[in-house]
Amino acid sequence: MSILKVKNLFKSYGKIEVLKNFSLDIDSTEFVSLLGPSGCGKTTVLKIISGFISPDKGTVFIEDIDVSNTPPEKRNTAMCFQSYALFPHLTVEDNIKFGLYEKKIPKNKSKDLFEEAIEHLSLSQELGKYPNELSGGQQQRVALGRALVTRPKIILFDEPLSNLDAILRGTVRNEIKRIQSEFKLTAIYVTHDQSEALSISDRVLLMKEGEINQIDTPEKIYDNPISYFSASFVGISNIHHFKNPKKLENNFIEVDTNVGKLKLFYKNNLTDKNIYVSWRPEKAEVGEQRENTLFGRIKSIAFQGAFTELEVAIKNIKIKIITQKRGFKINEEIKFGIKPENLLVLEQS
Amino acid sequence: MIAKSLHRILFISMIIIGVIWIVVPFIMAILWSLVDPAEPWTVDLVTPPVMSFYRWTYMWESSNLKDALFNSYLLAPTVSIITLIFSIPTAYVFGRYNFVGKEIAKLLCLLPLVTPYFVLSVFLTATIISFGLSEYRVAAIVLAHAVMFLPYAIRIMTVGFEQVSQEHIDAARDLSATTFSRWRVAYFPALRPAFFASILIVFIQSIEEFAVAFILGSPTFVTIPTLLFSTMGQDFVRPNAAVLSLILVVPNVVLMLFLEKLLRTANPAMISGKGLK
Amino acid sequence: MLAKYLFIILCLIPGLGIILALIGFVTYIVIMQSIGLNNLFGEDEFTIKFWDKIFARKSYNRSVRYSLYIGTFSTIFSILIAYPIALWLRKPFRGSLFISSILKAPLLVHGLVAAFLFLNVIEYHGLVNQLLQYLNFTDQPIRMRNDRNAFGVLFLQTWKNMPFALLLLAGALQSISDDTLDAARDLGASLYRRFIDIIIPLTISAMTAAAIIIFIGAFADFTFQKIAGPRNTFSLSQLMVEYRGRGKWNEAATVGVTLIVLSFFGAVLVAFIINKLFKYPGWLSPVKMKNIKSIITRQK
Repeated sequence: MSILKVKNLFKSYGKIEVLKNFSLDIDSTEFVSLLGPSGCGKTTVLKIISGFISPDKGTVFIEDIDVSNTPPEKRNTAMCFQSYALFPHLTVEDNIKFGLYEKKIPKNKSKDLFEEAIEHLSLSQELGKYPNELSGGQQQRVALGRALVTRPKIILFDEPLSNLDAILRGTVRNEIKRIQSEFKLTAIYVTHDQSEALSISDRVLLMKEGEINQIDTPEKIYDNPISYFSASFVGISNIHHFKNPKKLENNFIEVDTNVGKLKLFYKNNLTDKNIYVSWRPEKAEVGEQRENTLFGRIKSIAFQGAFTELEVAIKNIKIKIITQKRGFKINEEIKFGIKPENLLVLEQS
Repeated sequence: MIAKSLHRILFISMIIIGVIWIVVPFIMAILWSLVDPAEPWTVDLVTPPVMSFYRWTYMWESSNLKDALFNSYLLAPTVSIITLIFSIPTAYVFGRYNFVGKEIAKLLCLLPLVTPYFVLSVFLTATIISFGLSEYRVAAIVLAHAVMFLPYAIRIMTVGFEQVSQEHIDAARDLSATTFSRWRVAYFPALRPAFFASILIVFIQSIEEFAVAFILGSPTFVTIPTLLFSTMGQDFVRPNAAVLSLILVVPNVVLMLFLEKLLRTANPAMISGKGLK
Repeated sequence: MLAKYLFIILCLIPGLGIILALIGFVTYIVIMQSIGLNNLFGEDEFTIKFWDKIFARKSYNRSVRYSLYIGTFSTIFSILIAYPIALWLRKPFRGSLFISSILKAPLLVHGLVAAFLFLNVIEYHGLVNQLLQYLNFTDQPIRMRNDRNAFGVLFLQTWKNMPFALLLLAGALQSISDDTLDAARDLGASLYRRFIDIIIPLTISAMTAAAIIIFIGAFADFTFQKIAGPRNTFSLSQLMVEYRGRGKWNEAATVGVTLIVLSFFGAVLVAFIINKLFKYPGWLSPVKMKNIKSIITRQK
């Protein structure tokens, strides 16, 4: 069931267009990430959904009700801020209860909601403390508790992990995911960190310059990037410009690239926009290969334990290879191949 | 729409109030200081009938103005240097050490801000007389000023010491710097804006201070504020007071602008705190 | 450990030490002289006769009331005017810096100069009188200086102190992040609720600091009173200086003690009132109602 519908949003600040015809449809209990570089408009989307910014054009529906003109305090959404924005003059308990009071939830109901929240977030020890007495991870949990205690229809996360150190980040991320599924929350999660988005979401919405570039499950985004942008922003890709595509039989085509001729599998018709071919570094098969065999010289070797990262030069063009084989030497010439079905055709954008 | 027009109305009225608030009174003061005694400025005239610098030269030649200027501008720098020196050790431990009772100690340093200045000056006089130290009244004024303005200096210097990076100190130590060169390399550059800010604020405060200078100093030790006060008493000669007012205000405005510029590059907490936490 | 504390105490001596010594010593002298000890001239003898005498004096009681009146209203006016302006200036807009510098300008103007400027405006030859006569509202200039209700003094105190309150309040308001206010809004707090539950409580310490300093300054005022205040009533500082001028040190000391004690209690009272009135969860807040209820039920 669709819980949030965003239709044809436009927003500009002065001459800068932040959102261009942005639409989105989210189902109940879904976890959707908005992923993109800074300035791509993802936080603006979040603030339009929560009501802090009104779009120049477009509508927002929550449970099929048009809320475009509803102020944030009357919308049934809750935001987890990047800075947490805990109230410094209130204890943890009063911070979490704030929404219950402001939304005038009946006493016995609010008691249950409060107790359930602190139990799930294991905050019962910290109730009497003030925000400045808490660690970053605890503050994050209080912010989460404060947002979810009133059971909003949609919970919005604005880069919630960016103020935490690398070690805590993983733990808190898993916690957010756990709480979301335990409370069956619908969540929209804004981040610029692709690994965060891939690991936490049901669907990832990749944004570029105010437009949706690709929206899909994390696996599909990674395996089948459709554009130059998504291939390069999510994970690492070797991307080559191609020319002179020739149709072969059984939906194979052959193209000219700066590393040589490549044969690939592509069912659809090529358009003017399809000018790149890409492949993931781990798809290279070092050693024997019948098709798409390439020769290159190893320029650097980084052993990572489970695998090794190689930087290989083919006619001064540098590419990346990830392999589980070992025993490479600098300047060694190697041979590797890529299966045609692992080569992807990308759109220009 | 309503918010916007309300904003506009507020904006315009603030400008008008601002002009009445500041500009008109100062123009009046300037005009009064230029009134020539040849013809009085009567109620029915918008501007003085005859304008000259007579009052300025008169005040300069025949009143205590020269003494007052000398005293004020000797007192203020002395006080600011002494206050700075007194404040440094305390600010150093506030800024770089953690100890039991630090917050209370910091709070106690604000005591002079809540002490009525006139009580302080009247009974400091009493104390001096009772110890038979009446000849050292000027020294007592310096001491009283130092104590009154120590809260500002301590507060500013504490912020300064807090901003000295431990890494710089450690780096200097690591390169086996002596205590002296450690201060020169690590502390002094970080503290420099705080030094200037402290000196300027105390300087302005001391120049403006009235209570202590009036009670302890009068009648022999005149400063600009006490001189101004005396011209505003029974024989209130308005043009003379106008001259003194302008002499008292103008250098302060210049110093304050200088201070603002200085602090814009340094920590904003220094002025916004204004000696208070 | 011991060495560290010894070092700290040694360092505190020139700063905090001198402050405590001088203020402490002066306070000691004032209190002693008010009960007939540590006299400058004559025999020391413990007595409360100075207090008896001073309490019986009409002029003393009038001064106490008058100084409290000036202190209280200067504080209220300064904060009441500064708060909305600080709120308005919280978010920078075009020209906001200019407005705030105009409003803060009196901080740079000496109190005596302020008094002089004020006299220029209201005196016999002042601007107001000139205007009134020009507009034919009056034939003779109206006397506005030294008015009986001390409106002139209150005006001067507010003129001088409002910018100070504005400085502190604007700082406190500007340090409330937009995220904090947005978070409250997101959780369902209306404009009124946000003001009561978030903004006011987060500016309490600045408000208290401003109020205490303004109260004590205005309460212990001498200059504005002497120049623009009513002729028939003395402020406490004026009374004290007057007694000293007549060599009545013990009487001056009783007034001095009054000033210190009332300043202290005034400050405590100001802090108490502000915290009681405004501390989260403010007036009529649902959380407040809950707290009151829980206190009542617990007591039962």
